[in-house]
Amino acid sequence: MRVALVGNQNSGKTSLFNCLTGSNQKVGNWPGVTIDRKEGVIKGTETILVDLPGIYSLSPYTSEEEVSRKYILEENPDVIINIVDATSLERSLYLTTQLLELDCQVILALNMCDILEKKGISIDEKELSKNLHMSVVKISALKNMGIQELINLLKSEEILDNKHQKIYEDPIEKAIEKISSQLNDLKHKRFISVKLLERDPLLKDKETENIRHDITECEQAYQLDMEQIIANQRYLYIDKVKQTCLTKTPVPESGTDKLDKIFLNKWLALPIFALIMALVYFLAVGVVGSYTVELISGEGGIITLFQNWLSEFLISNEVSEWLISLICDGIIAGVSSVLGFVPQLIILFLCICLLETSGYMSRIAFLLDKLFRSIGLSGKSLIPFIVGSGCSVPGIMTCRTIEDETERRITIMLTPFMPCSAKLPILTLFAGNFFGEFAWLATVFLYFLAILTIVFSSLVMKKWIFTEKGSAFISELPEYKLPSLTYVLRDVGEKTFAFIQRAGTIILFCSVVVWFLLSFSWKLEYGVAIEFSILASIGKGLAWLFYPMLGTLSWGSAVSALQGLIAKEQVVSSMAIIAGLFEETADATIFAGNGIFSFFTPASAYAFMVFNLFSAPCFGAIGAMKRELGSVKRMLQAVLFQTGIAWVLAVLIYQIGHFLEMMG
Amino acid sequence: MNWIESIVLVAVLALVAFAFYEGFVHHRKEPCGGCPYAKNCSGSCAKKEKCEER
Repeated sequence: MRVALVGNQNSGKTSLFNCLTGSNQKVGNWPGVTIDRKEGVIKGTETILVDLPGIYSLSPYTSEEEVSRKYILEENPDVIINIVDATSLERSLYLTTQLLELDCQVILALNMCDILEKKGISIDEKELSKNLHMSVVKISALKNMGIQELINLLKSEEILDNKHQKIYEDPIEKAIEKISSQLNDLKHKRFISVKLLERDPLLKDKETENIRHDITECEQAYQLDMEQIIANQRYLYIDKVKQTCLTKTPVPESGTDKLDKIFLNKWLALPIFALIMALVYFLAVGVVGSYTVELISGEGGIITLFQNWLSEFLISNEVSEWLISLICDGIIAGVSSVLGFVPQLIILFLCICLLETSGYMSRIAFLLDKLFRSIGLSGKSLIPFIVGSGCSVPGIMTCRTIEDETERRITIMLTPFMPCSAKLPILTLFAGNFFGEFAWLATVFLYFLAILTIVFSSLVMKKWIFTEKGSAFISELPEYKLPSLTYVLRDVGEKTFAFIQRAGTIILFCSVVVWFLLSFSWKLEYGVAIEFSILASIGKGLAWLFYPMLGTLSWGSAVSALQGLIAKEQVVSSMAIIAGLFEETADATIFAGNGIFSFFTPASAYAFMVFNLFSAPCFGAIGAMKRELGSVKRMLQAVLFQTGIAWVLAVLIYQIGHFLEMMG
Repeated sequence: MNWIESIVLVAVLALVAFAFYEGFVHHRKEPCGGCPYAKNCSGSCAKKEKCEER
């Protein structure tokens, strides 16, 4: 038996999926967490449960709607669990009225019933079941309430059959019947008939002259567009159902309302957002970053002590010089330079997770909707940007929630501008070394520079590249929730583990390659001066590109920035290895004394940070861009655009900064 | 080459091979290679053709 889980965005589908299957899929307090279907087996049964992306209707306006509709119509699940947010029944039942038109059993799962009383809402589920002629179960996926009843109902097979209630007025019902009679062997006849009346673009091949005639007749009779007529009558039906089974009593202002008065205040909202983000970076980079990097990989840090001990141990055991150099100057120096940032990342992941799960990030999307719409995007684009601040790959994939193609493409191209966790080591390294106690301010400024660059880039793209109109942001604001400790710990743990895993795999391997390219010449002679190494000769060919933003020809910076294509953390790792081999002292720090990177000034450091923040993302994100943009050409356009913007910004920052440095 | 050096060399080679496999080969072999939602995914989105449809 196959059961599909269908519902609006943020109705709790994934939470219910996790409850029913015992799995740990990511949940979130914002719309669009599920962008593709997921499957699992319902506990204690052999029933397969399919979690479909959140949708508001079965019209194919967004890719999630297409995924869900395609699954329902083509793979014919035996039962559909329609999960609805019981606290906003009217909006949720719109999708239900479409599911009722299918030839398939539908169970209505009224989710969030645990907070109905608090909101002064009472729902008579028996009356609702009678009205819709479908099985209704009251549940709370968050509190694990009513889940067993739902499983029992699935097992009992006593689910009410879909009776195809007549919900439209006579002329429409007659038109539906007429079309249905022409659809001989098709399943879901009523659904398809309604969709044909709505001029569904995916059913164009089934449209006949008779159908077009019926549509015109109805439109003339109602003086409205057919899609509007059907939507209006659905809402009229929902209103009728609601009146018989829902009672609402006035309740005092909720906590969410009180908080929204502050967080969504016309004048305070944006300054509060700026303050919150400043606090996040102050905690991650300022408070934690100021001593943890030193503690882990600084001169007297744990890793440096281990490196010194290991080096002495290997020397005393007469291990070859090249092998000691490979282990200490290559592997340990490369990996530790990245691992030193783990404590800061934990704080960053924790703060972002708390902001996401509490419901605050949805408010930010709502808040910036107006500003974003004026530049051709919408609040919907903000969700990928928020997700992208963890990692660009899922951020880019979240763009599927955007129905407007132009807006989706622009968002895909701009999501890598957000400072993802892999870029944090670069930002922290430079900010910590050149801006001292103001390091957190330097990084938070970069965060807002990223937003400004997104706004500017979008304007440019909208004006010269894409000229179509954007879409409106349709989403509801979720309740503020106290984040679940288990979820927060798991989310932060998973992200931290993924970062450490990258350090132990991709960064470790790249460190060995970088060490090899730095220790050998083209003639494969070991121990040549670093300036004559293979990597140096490659870097010297690229260094001129970085001259306008660094004020000097630095092959080390050029090859390090290039390695950001493999993984952004690799920039720091590569610089650590180059600096270590150049200085030839065990305690050499990246920007020390007469080292290879000692030329950096605050202006060139900031310019280099900006270049690495905005230039082409890592190969993983480039691959995601290719998949989502649908062509290599568009992907290359995006990469060139990003790198171009990064270069121009970096050069501007260096030239202005250098001028200011000269002045005073 | 003494025995400690031999052990160290073998360990380093094994570590580098493991890092290369895990970092560049393994996840590409998994369903939905590189897809952040692939974890715990037992569904048909794991099938290549379904991924390509997206």
